[in-house]
Amino acid sequence: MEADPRAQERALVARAQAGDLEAFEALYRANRGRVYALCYRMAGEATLAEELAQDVFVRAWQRLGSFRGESAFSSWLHPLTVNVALSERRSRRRRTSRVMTTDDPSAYERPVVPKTGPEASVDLDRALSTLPAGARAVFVLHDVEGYKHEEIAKMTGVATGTSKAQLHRARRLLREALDR
Amino acid sequence: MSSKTVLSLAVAALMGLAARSAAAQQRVEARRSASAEALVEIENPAGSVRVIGWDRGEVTVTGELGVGASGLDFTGSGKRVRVGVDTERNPHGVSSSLEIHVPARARLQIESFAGSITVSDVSGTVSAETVNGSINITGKAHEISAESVNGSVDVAGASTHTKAESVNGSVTVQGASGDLEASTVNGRLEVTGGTFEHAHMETVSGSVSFEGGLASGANLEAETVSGSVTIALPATVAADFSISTFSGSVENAFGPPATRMGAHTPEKELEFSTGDGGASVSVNTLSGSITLRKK
Amino acid sequence: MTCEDVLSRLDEYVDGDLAEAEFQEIELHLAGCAHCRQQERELRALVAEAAALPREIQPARDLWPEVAARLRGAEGARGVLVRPAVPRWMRTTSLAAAAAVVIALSAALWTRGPGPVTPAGPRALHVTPVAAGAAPADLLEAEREYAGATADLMAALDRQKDALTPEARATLDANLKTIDDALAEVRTALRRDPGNAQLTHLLTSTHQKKIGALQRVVRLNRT
Repeated sequence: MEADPRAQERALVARAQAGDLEAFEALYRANRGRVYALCYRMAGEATLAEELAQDVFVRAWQRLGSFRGESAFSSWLHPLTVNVALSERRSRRRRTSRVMTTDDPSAYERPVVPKTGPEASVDLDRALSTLPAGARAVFVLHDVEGYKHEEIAKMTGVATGTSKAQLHRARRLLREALDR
Repeated sequence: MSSKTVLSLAVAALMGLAARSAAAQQRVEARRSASAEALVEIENPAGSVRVIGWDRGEVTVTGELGVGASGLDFTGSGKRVRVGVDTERNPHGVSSSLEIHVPARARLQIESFAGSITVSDVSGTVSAETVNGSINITGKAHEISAESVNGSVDVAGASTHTKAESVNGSVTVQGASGDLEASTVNGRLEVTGGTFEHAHMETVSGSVSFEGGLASGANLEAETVSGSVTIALPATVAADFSISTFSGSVENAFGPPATRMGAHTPEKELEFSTGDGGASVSVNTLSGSITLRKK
Repeated sequence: MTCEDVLSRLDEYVDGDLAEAEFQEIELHLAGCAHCRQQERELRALVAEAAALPREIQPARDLWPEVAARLRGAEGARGVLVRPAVPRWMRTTSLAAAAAVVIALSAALWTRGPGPVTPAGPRALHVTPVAAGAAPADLLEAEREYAGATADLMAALDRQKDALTPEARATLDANLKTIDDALAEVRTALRRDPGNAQLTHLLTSTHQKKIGALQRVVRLNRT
């Protein structure tokens, strides 16, 4: 009987690596909240976030062979999620821009509200979705997820200085949107 | 010298010659019945092994055993047949050439050390391993595993599961599809084929060249230390690309150029998607150049 | 320092990204400027709130059916599972899909027949694969394990009843040297960029090639 959650997780991963879809579903259920949170904040809206989250798990299944069990599964999923979210930005640029300025009152109306968290954080998540995509990505990666500017620069392909500028812009816009 | 002495000397010489011939080679010819999908295990420490598939329910062995061989070891029948060479001394010095016919759908397991292996017209499965010798496999086997250390490996068939590896030798795979693992250290690695679900190619200093297609959701990985990598894919491929090299160059016909990771490092990275993505292509080298081109 | 200067650097100040001298200058200004202190407070509140955002958000609907459908290749309704990166039939020790790489020298590698039975027996090496971005210490440990495995295999080769011919041995040594040269190149690059995930992976897979080749030689050399 596996009492240790990490050992349980490793067992699930080993089964999933051997092709066991049920085991992978268990991993999906345990990790989808975290993955979706990141996708939702990076994407700025629910429909796209749902697509991204699916992409993440499909990619995770395909790359499962490279997970060696040296960290928690969620830690391995994390950069993969960031990658999917960022790639998506690059490849869907041709679609209509979802950039909303803070002048747009409808910016605060969103069909899907995050289900957890106090009032204040609902406001913040809402306000986040109004940011321009680049600034939003940097804010999420730096202030929500805790990455450093050097790491963000590497992941997004911009210079460290640009990352800092985007963060500055994001914070300013958010404070304006939240009226603080 | 008396004529008698000459005669006995001549006879002695002839006998000596005959004795030497007998020691030099033994011709062998043997047959055993075997079922259509028999497991046929073949072991020849040195020399050559030629396996040919046919439509008879039989395994036949013809050839010549080398000096030091004490006989052909040919056992089994029906579902399992074994062919080997008995030796009375260090097997590496016993060089035998064997030609073996097997039922076309047989499952082959061939091992040699200092010998080459050729297989043709077998549509079952083939596993061939040698150390100092080349491997050449043709025919419609659906599962092929060919491994050498010092020798080239050439697979030209229609396999859907393929493993082709060498260390000091080139590896070429043609006509494969599905799952592929190919690697070498020193030689060039060349893959041309159909549509792959999974293609993994690795060398150390040899060049890698791939030309084929990717199924939806497939993944292709190519990794070298100093070998150059050329990947040719259909112009319409829908894939997510992840390319990185520490000090090599990158040429990309599918779009964006690689970006330097920073001012103080030659390292380059390139991540982009074509179409709606789905398949994944990842290439990683230390100093080898990377070229992505359209078929 | 003017308020404008301070406000333009407030982000870096709050994030701790400033050099000591500048940091002190801003602290000094803040001590005597209520307006800038207010800005600092608001910024810190925003950053704290962001860091405290819920870690998980559940999607409005269950995404698993669609994920499963994609994994089963439902687009073409082939009913064939899209396999994880390493196909099961090909999974050998040198491909290491499982959590840890076990380099086991199986009993088959050891000399059968007359002669002293090697007392040590098979040594199962547990080589923890080096994680992407692993600290140098972990890498060193893994490299030591690989070196151990190589030494064991070379010793097994020497002990085998039928020694390699001098030519065969020379060829093997030359092959191993090529791999060792490549390993040296990767190590050099890693020293310049420690923790680099791609390089770490190159290092371990090059090691595995070496072990794989040696294993094959030893296995095929047994009589």
